[in-house]
Amino acid sequence: MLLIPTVVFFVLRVIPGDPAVVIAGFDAPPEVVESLRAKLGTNRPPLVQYEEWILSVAQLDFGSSLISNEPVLKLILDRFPLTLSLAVSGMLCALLIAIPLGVMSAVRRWTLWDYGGMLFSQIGISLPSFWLGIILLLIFAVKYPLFPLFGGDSPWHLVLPSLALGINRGAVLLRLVRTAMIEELGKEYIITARSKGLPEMVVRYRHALRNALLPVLTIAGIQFGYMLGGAIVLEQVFSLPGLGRLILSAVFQRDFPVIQGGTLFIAAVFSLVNFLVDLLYSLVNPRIRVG
Amino acid sequence: MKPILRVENLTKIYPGSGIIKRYPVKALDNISFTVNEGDIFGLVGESGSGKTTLARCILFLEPPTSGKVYYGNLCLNNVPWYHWKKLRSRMQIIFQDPNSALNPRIPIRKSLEEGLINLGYSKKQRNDTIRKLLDQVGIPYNQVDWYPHEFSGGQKQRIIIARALSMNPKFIVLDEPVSNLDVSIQAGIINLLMDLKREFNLTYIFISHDLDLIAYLSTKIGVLKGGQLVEVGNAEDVLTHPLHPYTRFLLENPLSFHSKIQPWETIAKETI
Amino acid sequence: MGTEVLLEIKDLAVEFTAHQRKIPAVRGIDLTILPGQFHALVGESGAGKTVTSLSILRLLPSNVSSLRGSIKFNDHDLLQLSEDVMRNLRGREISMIFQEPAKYLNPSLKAGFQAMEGIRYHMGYSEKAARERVYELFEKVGLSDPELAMDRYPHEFSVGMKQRVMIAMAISCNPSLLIADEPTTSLDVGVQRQIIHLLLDLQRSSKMAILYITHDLGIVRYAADVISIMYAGKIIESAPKDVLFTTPLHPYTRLLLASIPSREKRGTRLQGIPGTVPNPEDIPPGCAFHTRCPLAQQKCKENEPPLVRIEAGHRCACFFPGKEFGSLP
Repeated sequence: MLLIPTVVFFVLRVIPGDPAVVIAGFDAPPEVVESLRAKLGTNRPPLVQYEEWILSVAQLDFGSSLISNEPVLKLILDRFPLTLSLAVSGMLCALLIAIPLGVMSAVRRWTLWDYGGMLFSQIGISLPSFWLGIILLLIFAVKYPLFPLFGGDSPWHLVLPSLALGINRGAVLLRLVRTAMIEELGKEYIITARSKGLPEMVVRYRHALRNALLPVLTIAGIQFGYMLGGAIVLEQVFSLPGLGRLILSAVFQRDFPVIQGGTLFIAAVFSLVNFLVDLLYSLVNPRIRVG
Repeated sequence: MKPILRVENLTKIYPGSGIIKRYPVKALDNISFTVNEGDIFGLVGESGSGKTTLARCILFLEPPTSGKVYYGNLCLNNVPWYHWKKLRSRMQIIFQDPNSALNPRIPIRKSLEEGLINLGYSKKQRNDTIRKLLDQVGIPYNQVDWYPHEFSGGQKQRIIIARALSMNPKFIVLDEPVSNLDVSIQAGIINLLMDLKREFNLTYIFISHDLDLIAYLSTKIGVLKGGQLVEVGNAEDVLTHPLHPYTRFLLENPLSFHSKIQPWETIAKETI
Repeated sequence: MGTEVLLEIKDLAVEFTAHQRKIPAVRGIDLTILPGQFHALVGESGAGKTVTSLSILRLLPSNVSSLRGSIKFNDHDLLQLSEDVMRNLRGREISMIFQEPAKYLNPSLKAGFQAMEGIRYHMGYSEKAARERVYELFEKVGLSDPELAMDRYPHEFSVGMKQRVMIAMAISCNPSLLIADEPTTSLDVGVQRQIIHLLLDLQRSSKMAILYITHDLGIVRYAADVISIMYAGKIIESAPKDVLFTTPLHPYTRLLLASIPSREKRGTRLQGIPGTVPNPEDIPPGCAFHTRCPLAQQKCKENEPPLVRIEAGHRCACFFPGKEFGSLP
């Protein structure tokens, strides 16, 4: 968790681009730039800057934006909820696509349903989400203006981007659901369930799916972290004022504290999500829970 | 009657898993017995009795936690690593599952050759030896280049016996060697094992949960329960005058085919 | 005849397709079970016993390529019934228990819940009523602390207790026939005895017939009323237990009974059966046993002996039943 921000920190210092120049303007005379650097503290050796930054972060002080002077933490926390809701609704979308289609595929193997599902999965995986996003925008916001083009105020704004994320990730999960279902349906306890005379629906959904979802949810949980990443790109496409956009513009403006703070935050959230997934898995899988 | 194997106060404790609480498992608890040359020492035990752990510890496939094992006069606990190669050939083991004991990717000829190559036999010597061995266990020589999956379970077990024999062992530990085989095949393998014992003057440590089988072929019987040797003695003595209640429990099993206990009184007497 | 028949299998044959080959698992068998009878179906691996049992409840896997014959249960041919009607029968009139209960119980559902399913579906019980019934059942099958057991998951039970849960599940709707596919194989002796006694008690108290599939002749000696012996997909002998053990007629039966080791046989050579048990894919022509039979004649290599009635209740499929070994060339 600490590794990524550290890497980011030093990479930023190495690549060309100086925030002082950005602030002062490209035509500014060198003395102005120099004095700005002194003021910003960017003329000190990198290691010293790093030390200072780490110390302040430990006290939850992420510093202030070099451009706007607002506290970084506030900036992050203002925008994070939007990114989070996008990731969550994207994940929900993915599951809503993957589970029914995956189950259908598994249950009606080698039929039209199965081939259709596999085709959809193949296509969905190959289409990058931002491309999908653009297409969706073109169709549903421009040609047939059903959805807004930009902004992030209402849930309505989230529909298209969630779909873009969901289709892509859902395609991956679909295969997983299919494989897990096929495996579970071949297990012995299914024979027992059938021998009790239970309706086939019950056998599939109450018995098989329950076990099949275990590995699927684990992977979905891990995927959630990547969802956050995908959300960042999509924010750009859909002009959503989320964390991603914040970091992206900070990169363009060489706003170091924001970039550092932002990546650190995301790394922390990612770790937290993974931890929660592990916890969730142990709660859901009765065999691990007791032992 | 010289003792070929002597086990003294053998104990094996597994440290146990678990991050917070570790539950050590005492798989073997202070086991002592002697096997003389030419004996068939029948070890009866159910699941969890420690029989497989005992088999492995006797041959030092796993080190015991405490206690000693003597092969003849040699204390196995003190044998340095470079002597084990030669020693291992004298003590062979045959396991329950013939499917996992043979490398499925090589023809049985190669499986049989491995030990012989280690002993330094030439190609001609190996071929001769394999030919003789397969003949002894009843596998036609023209099948020597077949793969394991082309043989039945019983045939695989015969090949495994041949492989054990190729090392000229003095004694063989057999851990449930016929339990996975069909009933009609078991008798053939047992007969083979008895024939080989006579011909090569072998000593067997025969482990099984099937008391009828142990009662049939053992000269000496040991009863294993929960890691402890609850009874041990000459076969006739143990079978006629069992001392431990668990031994009596096993002997008085109504589900044994030859049991003298009356079958269950049936209610459905009609036939058509 | 007068005696009512519970289950009558006539000329059942089941064939599978695997790897582009047709595999005859069951090749035409007749089997009759009377009400309350303990009928043991004995055979070694590949004989077709499990396929037979699954055919009764029509639980065969999807690669079945042909199924012929009739299975009459209370005069209805089960093979002709619709899937809906079959589902009604399963778990209610005819139940099944299996080997390795760990695999045959759903690991993610509580034991009580799994046991309640059948009752709720077939008998329409409310959850409360079903719970009470399961409590009684768990007591009946000998689970100590049934209340606690109901909320436990399968992996929290020992093997013996898992099997009891399965039995409780199976008898929950009072079936008239229980099919038991090797339920005690690989269990410890003590547990085996308990489970067998449990089944026998249930048979006695509920007049429930049991089709018990096994290769263990000791269990058969103790518990069975009637025995049918299967070899290579066919029933080669069938008789009441005492008759079968005193006068076995088929060479396979006779050799099988003689091959079991015992203390009394110490010092003598065991009588085994040469050769190997045939795979369903490689069944010898004519009488499938002729390759290993001490009485085999030319006739046996060319023709399959039919299962004929030798005397009351005793049927045998052999051209030379009961002949002394060595009396024929």
